[in-house]
Amino acid sequence: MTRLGEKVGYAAMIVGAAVLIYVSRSYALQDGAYPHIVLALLAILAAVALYNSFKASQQDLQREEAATEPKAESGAMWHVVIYIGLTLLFILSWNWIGTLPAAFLFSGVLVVLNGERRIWMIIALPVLLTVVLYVVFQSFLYLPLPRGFFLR
Amino acid sequence: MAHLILQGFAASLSPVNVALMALGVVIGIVFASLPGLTGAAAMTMLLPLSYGMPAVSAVLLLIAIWNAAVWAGAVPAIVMNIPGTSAAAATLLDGHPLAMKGHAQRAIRTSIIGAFVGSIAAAIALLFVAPLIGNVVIYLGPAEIFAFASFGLTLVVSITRGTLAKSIISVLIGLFVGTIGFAPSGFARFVFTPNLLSGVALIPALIGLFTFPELINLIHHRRPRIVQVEPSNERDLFLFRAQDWARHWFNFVRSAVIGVFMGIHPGAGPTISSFITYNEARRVNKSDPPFGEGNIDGVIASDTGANAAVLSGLIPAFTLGIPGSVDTVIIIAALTLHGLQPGPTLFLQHAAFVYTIFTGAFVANILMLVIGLFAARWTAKLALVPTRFLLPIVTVVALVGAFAVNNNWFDVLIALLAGLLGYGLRSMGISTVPLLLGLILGPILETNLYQALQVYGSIWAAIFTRPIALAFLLLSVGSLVHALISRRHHKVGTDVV
Repeated sequence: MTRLGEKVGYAAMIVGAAVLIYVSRSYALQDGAYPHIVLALLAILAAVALYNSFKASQQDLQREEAATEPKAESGAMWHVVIYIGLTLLFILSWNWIGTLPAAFLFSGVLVVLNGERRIWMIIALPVLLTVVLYVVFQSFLYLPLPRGFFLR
Repeated sequence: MAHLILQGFAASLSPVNVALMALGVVIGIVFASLPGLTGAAAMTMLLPLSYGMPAVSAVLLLIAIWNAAVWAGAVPAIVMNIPGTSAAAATLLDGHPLAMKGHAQRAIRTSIIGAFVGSIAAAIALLFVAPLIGNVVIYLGPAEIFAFASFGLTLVVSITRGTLAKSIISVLIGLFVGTIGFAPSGFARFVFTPNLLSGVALIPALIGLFTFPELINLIHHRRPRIVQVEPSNERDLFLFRAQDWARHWFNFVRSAVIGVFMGIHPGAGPTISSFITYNEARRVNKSDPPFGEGNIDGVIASDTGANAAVLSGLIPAFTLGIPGSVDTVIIIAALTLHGLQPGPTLFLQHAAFVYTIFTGAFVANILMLVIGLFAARWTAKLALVPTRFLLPIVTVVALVGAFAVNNNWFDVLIALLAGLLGYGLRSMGISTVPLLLGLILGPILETNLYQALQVYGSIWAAIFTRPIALAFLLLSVGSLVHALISRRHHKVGTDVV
């Protein structure tokens, strides 16, 4: 993550802690003291870390970045955004089309997006995964997976 | 007593009981290897079925599942950097780096042997010291549990790589998330939707925190996945040779003893135990590679400690009827289902039953070792599954697993949100392991602090009249100070888990 992203992260923690303390200000002492102490400590430490991230020299920054993670491929951020978006869509679609059909479609799309081009594999993996989900979770564990509008 | 032990072995070695325990081991391994499914889920599922079995068979089946599941959580931790159970979060600290270096099979085999040693130590404790220890446990109250939980939190802060401030930030986020839902007084806090009334469910949060950051990393950095495991034609003899045992025996023994002690104490359990034993091994061990970079002693310590705390958790459950975890609650439920009342009278009225269970624990452990070693070669190869197949499989199974915990769609959203939080924190160089411990220990910490204040009037009275609590709180402070000093003296790397 860039230095700016880190600063935004710490700032979000400070603001988040302050907002949570504010919304819970009416809690009785026995209910509010413990979370308020935790949130106050979090805000203080995030402020210290934010200050340190401003103070860190360019040299420190380069050394840290070299030590942490490899550089992302160009366009990789878009892949992440698409993955998160698809995952959210997958979760939301459980109540529309049902978990098992959604899992079939979602896994098929992900396999293609990640570079698989063999037709039999694009079909086989979602089919196998859906069958395993059905057998393990629905038949064996009797899990009431959402069935969607179509199968209700 | 000797004749009871012999009778116990004879009964637990009956073909039916051995077959049921082997089935339990397989079920435990499968459940713990799938994100979202736990040993407790498998035990709950099989509890009604166990009603039709003899009491001994039913309890042995449940124990075999529980014991194997706590170990098997280490498999996805090592292979995919995703702990199957919270206790396996300590295993991934060194287990996954080992797998990244091409030693997945060695790490898995070491973890199963560690789990076996820990479980055998606990089984010995069950057999010989259960009645004695039961009398001591009764004197441990909320002040001691509060002190244990504090010690667990400071330990995880001190063993996590990165700056101390970042580790504490992670713990504090976990502690805060743990306050969502009902306070110890019964008041609902930070409940912005009715789905949060019972708090943030642990397993969906665990799935999200560890699964999604790992998957997003794979996409974002196209990070090189593990490209090889040990060649199958080259036999790795680690821990099959006397010289390896000569080198590591003390780590096994120390971790087993600490694990048994932690397991006996209600509320501590395998997760705290694995972190404490990991920290002890790290403190003592100065060999290369450093801890956190694939030191095999880290795997030995965490898995030995975790499994030693499993069966020893049966000591307060059997002797006093005090369940230390959800899993022991299920075992107590199985006992009562068969008309048996846990407590001191259980030893007097049903001695043959008790000793059959205790000796059966040895048999269950041997089965776990054999099946685990046999499966190690194949489970290690999971590391070679290409990203394009791993991504959809793990995402779908993890999300359905998150739903499976409470049959609640909201938990699936929790898993995704926890995943995004985990990815953001990791990107900032903040480890999510302390967050997980904060989430687990936060409610324990607050509830016991609340109870201690009710009993003793003030925190000072609770601490200074309870020497064990005072000792553990001093150890907590010492552990933080040590972490601060050691970070000042040695530049700690910024890799995070």
